[in-house]
Amino acid sequence: MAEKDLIKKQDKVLLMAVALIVGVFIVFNLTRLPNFGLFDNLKAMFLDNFTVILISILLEAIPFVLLGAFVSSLIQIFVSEAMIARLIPKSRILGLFAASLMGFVFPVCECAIVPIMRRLLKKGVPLHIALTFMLAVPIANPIVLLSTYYAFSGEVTIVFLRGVLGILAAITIGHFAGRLAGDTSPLKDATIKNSCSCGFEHDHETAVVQIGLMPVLKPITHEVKTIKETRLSVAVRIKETLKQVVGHTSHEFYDVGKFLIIGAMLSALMQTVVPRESILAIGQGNIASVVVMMVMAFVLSLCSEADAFIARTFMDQFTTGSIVGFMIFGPMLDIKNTIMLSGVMKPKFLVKLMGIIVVVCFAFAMLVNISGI
Amino acid sequence: MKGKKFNLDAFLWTIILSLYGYMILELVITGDILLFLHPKMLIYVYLAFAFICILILYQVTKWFQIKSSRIVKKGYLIFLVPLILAFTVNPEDISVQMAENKGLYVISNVDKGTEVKDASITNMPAISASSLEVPYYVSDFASTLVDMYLSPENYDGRTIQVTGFLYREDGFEPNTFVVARMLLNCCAADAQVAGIKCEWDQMDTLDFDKWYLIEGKVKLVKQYSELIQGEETLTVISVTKAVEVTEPDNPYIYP
Repeated sequence: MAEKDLIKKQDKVLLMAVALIVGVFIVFNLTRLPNFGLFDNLKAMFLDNFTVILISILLEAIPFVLLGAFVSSLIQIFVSEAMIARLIPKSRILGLFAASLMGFVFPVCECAIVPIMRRLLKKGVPLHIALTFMLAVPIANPIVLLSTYYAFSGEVTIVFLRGVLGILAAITIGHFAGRLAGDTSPLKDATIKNSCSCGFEHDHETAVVQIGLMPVLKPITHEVKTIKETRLSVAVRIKETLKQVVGHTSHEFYDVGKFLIIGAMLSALMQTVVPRESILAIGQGNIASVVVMMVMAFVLSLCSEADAFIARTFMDQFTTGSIVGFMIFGPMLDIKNTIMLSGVMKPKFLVKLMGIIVVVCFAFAMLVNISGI
Repeated sequence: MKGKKFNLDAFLWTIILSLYGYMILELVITGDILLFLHPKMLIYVYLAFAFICILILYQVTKWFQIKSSRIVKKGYLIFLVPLILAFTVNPEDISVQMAENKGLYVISNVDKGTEVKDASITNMPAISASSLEVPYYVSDFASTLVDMYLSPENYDGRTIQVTGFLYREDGFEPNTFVVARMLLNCCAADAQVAGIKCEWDQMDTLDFDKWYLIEGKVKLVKQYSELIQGEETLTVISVTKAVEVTEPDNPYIYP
């Protein structure tokens, strides 16, 4: 059974916390607490609202984070660095362009894209391509564009603006941010020896390998090599591969899920505590409207599928440019995925990236306003 | 190897996954999941549940595999927070609370040109002298909202009954409020208030924390709209009666 001398004090606390939760479940017969006397005032009002929003964000996001973790595991197991190196176009502009259109092949939302982007970077995909991919896919994909079309009742102009400017913005940001990191990886755990971070019991050696133009810390995973080279029966190999995929997914889900939950809590908090009026009060002029809508997009942390409907309600009070800005900036950067990115990227890099995203989105939005569309 | 060793870390993660799986299961079985999500998202929740079950099965096999690091991840505490909230906080009357912070989905934002909506509009029986007095009970809130905007003349002079919670903003004229429902797009986080404008000189007798069955006569009002840069006709209910009712199990409407 458990070796007592190895369960440290902190672990005991954690164990007790979990036991407490399970206890709460059983004691209350898995039903919810009624709102009794002391609770039944503003505090309960706030908590109810907060909980509903938090749980709804999580229920919506968890399937997609699982999906992203799963795809990331598939890439980890089945796609080799060599394959990636072959697929990446030599020309930078072609690469950027191709990356920005991946949303039509791979329509995933901003929650799912984070683990996938990290995995691609680890596999040697150049930074500018990975970033463009991450930023463009949640905007330039058929599902989102269709829902935008529907939300704006067939106004093709708006859909067109969102799609085209979204792609252009992603390419611009990817291009400039791609140069930001210089020679080092922007990923958080790239400097740690055990950079696979999958928790599997195998030794890792890391080697600095030149992939394309980027020096990358490449973990040499013995286990993958072993499976491929071995002459074990097909059934065993399949079983082992499945185990690896599930294992990686599980770990990735934990890794990304942590930050998803923190991000969701912050988003829910903002939605509960900050009334929309106070953000709207900032102003409706050419510049102010763009600022307002971008702040709104950041604070609300909506999925790119649903944000068009919210944007629609602001149509008559705000400039077209600010609406487009809302619909481009939101999928790229909001509280929820900023937190998720902070778990994956180094803070200095993340801040610089955020700066570029803000500037580029703002510029494109202003462009729309100035051109008077 | 001396004896079987226990992997506490894997065990705890299994518990956490199981709790999440259980939470989803309970929400789906009781139907409460609809308080949080649009029905179209349910398929994804089912898939997530299936996947979590797979993860749990896998994790069980790791209970006795020992890792060299043996660290119990502190991050598990973060995963516990939503679980605690989900199972102890009782979201009653969410619509009323949510309305306070959400914007009003102004009816003029429903566009005239949408073909898709026509299929779901409940066609009202043609107006005849006798039917003017019989109250028309609005069973499909969302479709009625759209229909009222597209064909306001159909409602002119009719008596209708509609259920919803009450909503009022500071900029409203006196004795004006909206009988509304929360319009849900993907999840509760994006919900907006949508409803029909009402006028009643006895508005002050109403409790804005409750749901009401509003009965009244529809009249048409012309208003200038920024969006279409012109005048549009809106329906307003002159309320004659308001009866308190209980919030329906599914308080939401969908676009």
